[in-house]
Amino acid sequence: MAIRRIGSLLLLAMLATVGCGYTLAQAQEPSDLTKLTLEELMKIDVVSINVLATHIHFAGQWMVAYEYMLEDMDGNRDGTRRVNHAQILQQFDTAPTNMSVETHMATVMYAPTDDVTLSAMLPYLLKAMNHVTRTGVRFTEHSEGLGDLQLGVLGTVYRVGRFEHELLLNAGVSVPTGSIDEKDFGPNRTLGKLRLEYDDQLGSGTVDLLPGITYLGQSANWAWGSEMIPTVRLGRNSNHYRLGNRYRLSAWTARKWTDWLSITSQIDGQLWENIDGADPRLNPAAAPTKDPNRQGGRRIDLLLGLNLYAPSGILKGQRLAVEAGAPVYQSLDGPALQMDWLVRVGWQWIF
Amino acid sequence: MAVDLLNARILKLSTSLRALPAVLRLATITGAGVASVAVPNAHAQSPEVREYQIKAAFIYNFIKFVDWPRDALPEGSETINICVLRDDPFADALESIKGKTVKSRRVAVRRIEPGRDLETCQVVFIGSSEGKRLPRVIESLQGLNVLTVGEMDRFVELGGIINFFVQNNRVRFEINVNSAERAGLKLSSQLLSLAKVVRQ
Repeated sequence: MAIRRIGSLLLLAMLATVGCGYTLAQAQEPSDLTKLTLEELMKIDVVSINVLATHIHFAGQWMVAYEYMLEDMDGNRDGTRRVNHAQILQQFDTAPTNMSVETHMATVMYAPTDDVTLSAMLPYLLKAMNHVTRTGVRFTEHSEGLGDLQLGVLGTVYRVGRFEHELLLNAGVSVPTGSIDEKDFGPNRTLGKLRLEYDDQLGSGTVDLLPGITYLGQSANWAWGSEMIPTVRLGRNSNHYRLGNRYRLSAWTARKWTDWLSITSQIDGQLWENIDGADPRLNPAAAPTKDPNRQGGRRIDLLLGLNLYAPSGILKGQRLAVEAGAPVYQSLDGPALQMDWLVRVGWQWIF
Repeated sequence: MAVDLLNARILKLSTSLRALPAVLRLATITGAGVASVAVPNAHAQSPEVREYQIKAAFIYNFIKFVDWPRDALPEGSETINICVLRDDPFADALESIKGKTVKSRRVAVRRIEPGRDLETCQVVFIGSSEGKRLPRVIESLQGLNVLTVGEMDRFVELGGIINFFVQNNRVRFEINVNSAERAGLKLSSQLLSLAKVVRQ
């Protein structure tokens, strides 16, 4: 219910932005700039920030953003092959059936120069995983709280024209602010709350490096880009394990329809490794979710989205984006829960 | 097979978001559905074209605030000539002000070679492609009542009069008042109040 309420509110906000955007689109600067005075010309933006150019931050600008993401995992997979609960329960006491992960992500960015942007991102996570046991008992484990804080620096190292082509390098670090000691009741409540499996924890417990490279391209009506940001985990956490490194490569394109509306498509490939070490409180024979060697995988998602942007007026600099997608390929070192679909709704304000 | 799988998942997703069809209907009713019939912006420009068009409008305005000696702009003359060196792409942007009237004269845009026909120009735009040849170009304009306008580092230090630069995504300009005096041009105080003034 809470999810639906949030979704409805965001969609209503989106409608309001669309309405405002349509109104604002009627009140643009004149096509003949000679009608403007020198004072007026000095107030015109050289790069007309439109719905395609929301990644551009000029010196002194701030950006605050909020994104809500809902990921739904349903059913299990071993390699690329689907496996049902009965097959898993031949080997384990418990099998996961489905899981939802809600992420509320708050982001703040600041650009000290035209070529450098500093960022801080803090997620708040809500996880729920459903299980079934050999005896047919069904139960749900919940975890909720702050995730890992990500701090980053984004720098333009090469630029052609005014933002036609840009190459950026990312240097980031993930600080282990998320808990790795989450507990909840299992099928037998008399045992009290027990340590939750790796996927239900909120953080990595390690300091992780987030180096990356991003390419951005833009023409009058199109924007496109590609990004590779691996997550390289360092050391082992206090529970004696290290989550696997994650390698992510994505490419996207956006088509502008007006200065305030664009349609986006994205292909997102990810590879994540198995866990190194193991949490001694998790019995790998009890459930595949507790086995550190069944946590890796590969996946390719396709996503479609809509971007709304207010280029002027009282909402100037605000953007609303909605994106939804599903995997077209996934291979898991399972059996493990497979991704079914995901939805993202984001708002950002540049000022 | 993969497409079928994707379709099935999208169908499931749309079923999950039960509120969506109602919201979309509302969007259509309220006019937000205009998104679906919106057409691409036919007048979309690349950032560089836009920057040049803004600068062209600046030059059109500069002319209003500069007084040329009578010899350089005789009464009764029909045109004010803005000259662009060689094949600088800025000439295309100046087409937007070509034929407009300022100081009771029609704006004409001419492409010229350095050292040739400079005496017929009231304004000479020197693009960044002339950067290495700038000292020679400035030298060839000495003694002429020409407003030189550029867009490169050290333009005014090397003797140019007005130089464009971009700061915080907006066009700004600097003026070397001594160069203007040497060219026999009078600049209005209003123009100077908006410029970064350089005396050299």
